[in-house]
Amino acid sequence: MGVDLGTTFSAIAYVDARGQVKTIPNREGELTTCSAVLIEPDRTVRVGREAVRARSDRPDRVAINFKRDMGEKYYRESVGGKEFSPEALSALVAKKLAADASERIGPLAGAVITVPAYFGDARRKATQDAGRIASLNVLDIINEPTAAALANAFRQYLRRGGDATEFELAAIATTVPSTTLVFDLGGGTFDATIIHIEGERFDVLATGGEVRLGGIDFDARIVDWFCEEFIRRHGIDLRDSPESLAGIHSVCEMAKVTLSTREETVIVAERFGKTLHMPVNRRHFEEVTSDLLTRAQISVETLLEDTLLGWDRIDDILLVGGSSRMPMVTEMLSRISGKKPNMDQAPDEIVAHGAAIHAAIIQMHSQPPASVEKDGSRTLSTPEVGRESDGGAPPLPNLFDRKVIEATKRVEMINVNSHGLGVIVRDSRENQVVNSVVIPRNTPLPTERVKVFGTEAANQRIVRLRIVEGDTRDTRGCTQLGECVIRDLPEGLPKGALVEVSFRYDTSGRIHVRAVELRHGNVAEVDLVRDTGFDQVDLMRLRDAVSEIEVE
Amino acid sequence: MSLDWLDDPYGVFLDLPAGDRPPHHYELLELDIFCAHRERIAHAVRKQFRRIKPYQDHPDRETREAIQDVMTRIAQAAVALSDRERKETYDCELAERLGIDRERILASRMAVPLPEFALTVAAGPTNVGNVIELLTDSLVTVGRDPHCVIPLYSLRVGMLHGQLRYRDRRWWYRHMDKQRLTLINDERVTQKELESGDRLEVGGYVLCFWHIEEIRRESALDRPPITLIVTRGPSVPDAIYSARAPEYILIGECETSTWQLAGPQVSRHHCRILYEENRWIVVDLQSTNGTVVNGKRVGRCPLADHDVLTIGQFQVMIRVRK
Repeated sequence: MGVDLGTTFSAIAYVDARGQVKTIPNREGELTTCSAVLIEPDRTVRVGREAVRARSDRPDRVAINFKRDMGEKYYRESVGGKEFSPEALSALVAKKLAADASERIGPLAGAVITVPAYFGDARRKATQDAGRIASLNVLDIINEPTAAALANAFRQYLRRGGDATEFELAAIATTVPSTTLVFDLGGGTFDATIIHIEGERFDVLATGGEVRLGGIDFDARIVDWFCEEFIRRHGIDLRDSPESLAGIHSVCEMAKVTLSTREETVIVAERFGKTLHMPVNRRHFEEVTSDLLTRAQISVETLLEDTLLGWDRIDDILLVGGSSRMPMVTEMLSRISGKKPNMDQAPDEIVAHGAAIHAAIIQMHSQPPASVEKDGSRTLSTPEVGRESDGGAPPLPNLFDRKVIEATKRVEMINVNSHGLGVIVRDSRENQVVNSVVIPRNTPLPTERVKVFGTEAANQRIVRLRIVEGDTRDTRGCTQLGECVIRDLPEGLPKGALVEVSFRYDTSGRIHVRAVELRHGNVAEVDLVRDTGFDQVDLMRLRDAVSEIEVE
Repeated sequence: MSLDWLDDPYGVFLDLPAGDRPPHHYELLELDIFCAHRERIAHAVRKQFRRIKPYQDHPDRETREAIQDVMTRIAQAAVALSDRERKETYDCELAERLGIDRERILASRMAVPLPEFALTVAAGPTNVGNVIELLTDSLVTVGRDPHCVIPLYSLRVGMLHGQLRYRDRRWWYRHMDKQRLTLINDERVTQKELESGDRLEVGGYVLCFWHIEEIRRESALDRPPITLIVTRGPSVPDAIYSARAPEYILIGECETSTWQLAGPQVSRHHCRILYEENRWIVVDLQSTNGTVVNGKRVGRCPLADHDVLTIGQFQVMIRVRK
């Protein structure tokens, strides 16, 4: 199962026994579900289009765009007079997706949840937590652009005449090595990632993006423009009440979507008996949002600069995310690259598809080969009893064709870290506290890096290392992930005694830090597991709370 | 936690000097005001973006919003300055807002002083008659390398033979090549301040350094160029040699000669060709084997078109353009 929890839309997909990827529609029959949560006074929770519709009359009961606040420890969204963490709200969306999906295809095994590649550690943890709170068996999280590239490669294979049932050696593999730029402009986040694909090997070369740039920012620009016009004509600000703001928001969003296919549309709004009909054409829309698109452009250009790649080395540009449908995105990319971006697959579902393929791959790896019959016929084995799995979710059933298993097992993915990792030290020359980056961003994982520092003062008995995420020397650009403390150093250690700090970052996101005082060998070690932002008690409490809630 | 940087994120995160907030686009991008260089603008945009972006995930919500504002501003600057029409509109507004004269600022930036001095190629295997005006803001390189400002194509010239540099309102020549030499007014130099009328010999080329005014006078001289072509003899670096303006060409076996004809029976300083009384003449410099014009040994003799000059084993055809 692959779950794409988007800022504005979410989707769920799975790989069927014959190796075909399918999006599972929700109960209302839509392939994507709006990431909006309505909480009724009787504590019924509704997720999806109905919640969006409810915004215009009961905006205080609806939560939207909470993905932007994911991983903020103290941030609580107030919905219907009650406080919710962004994780809990995301969990409700995930729960709705999972519930609708299991209604169609039966009980779910494990899920892979997607995150924007540019998400930092805290946001990743939060996303994983959201899945757990929704009682999903979270197998892994995967970067959205990687998922998209995976799904795209899979699809290209099928287009070349491959049959998913025949999943030969080259199953997902492309024949020629190629480098793809994945341009993912979604509802709330923007990711740009360069992936090199050779055979079954997916090498992420570099990733960049912005956590706060997406379709909703484009909507806000039209809203502001239209409201200013309304004030000019009628002297009334449409934004003065939440109801009216929500109303104008959905009208403007619709206008934006229309302008992707048509040159002109009309925005109509009414307030206190005053009406305004305002024609808006695509050129004007592009004008008021030009700086937003420019930001995406700058991100792409700096990414290419970082990787020292020219446009001639990029073979494909893959457009992902609903907002890439805006014609100006394609225009901008063709202008700066001289290439035609490729946008043939449903851009809202491709990420969920990739996650589903990734989930399938993980299941293959965890599957004991003995349970596959020799002749390769499809086996529907009984669930293994007593297998340990996260939180008592049902064990993974063995549902796949042997060839499917063989092929997907070969897939190898090399990821990079989207943010640097370092330790806070004092720079003796400047006498300033700085972040000394140990693993710079865009380093292929897994990796191990070592740096040596000197102690700050003579006779120091304790060395405290603050481990941070961030790319600047300036500590204000960093977030602390943990601490590693060497205690009980012998007396009389001179100033500048050497301390070796090594960072090991593995593919599952675990950071192992080891610090050694080199003369006496005092060691301190710490494991930073990207496990959870909550402590276990909170997590269980939230999970119980959410599982009691009926999501419709 | 003190959040004093919220007052001025531009100063704190981009190190911009105190000034208007928000800063105008050129201040924000740290460009000269009204800068019109497209590449420089694009580069500045990326540079500032790289500096601010690592802070976008700052744990404090308000700071994050301030960072977002700065990023939006940079993008707006990029939009406004990358398009010709938009930039024109923005520049006019900005000039009015700041009360400054845009035309004058642009004109003052354009005012690179006109060159006062020039080099002429007075004699040499190629490029004779060329005038190279010397721009004061540049380093003028002289050598065989085609990337030199003054490329001189002869094996006697070093890849980077020498360079001219403007310093303290004066032009200086500096010799660079280790194997070869430069003569200025017949003296071997490593470095010299140049004066109008100086004669530089660089690997067989004669370059004259002039004040612009004096070149006009010199070019007013009605002096026909002379070309010397080796028609028989051992091979030499420059088989064809021309001269237009110099007082003389020294021919000999020696390295310091203007036109080097290296071979037996050629004296170190064999003869000299100069312009006198409206004609080119050859003067023998008491060479061992003599200077012969049209088969006759001469001490001093005027030269006409198609005369044949014999110097040792070399036979040289004289061409004088009318």
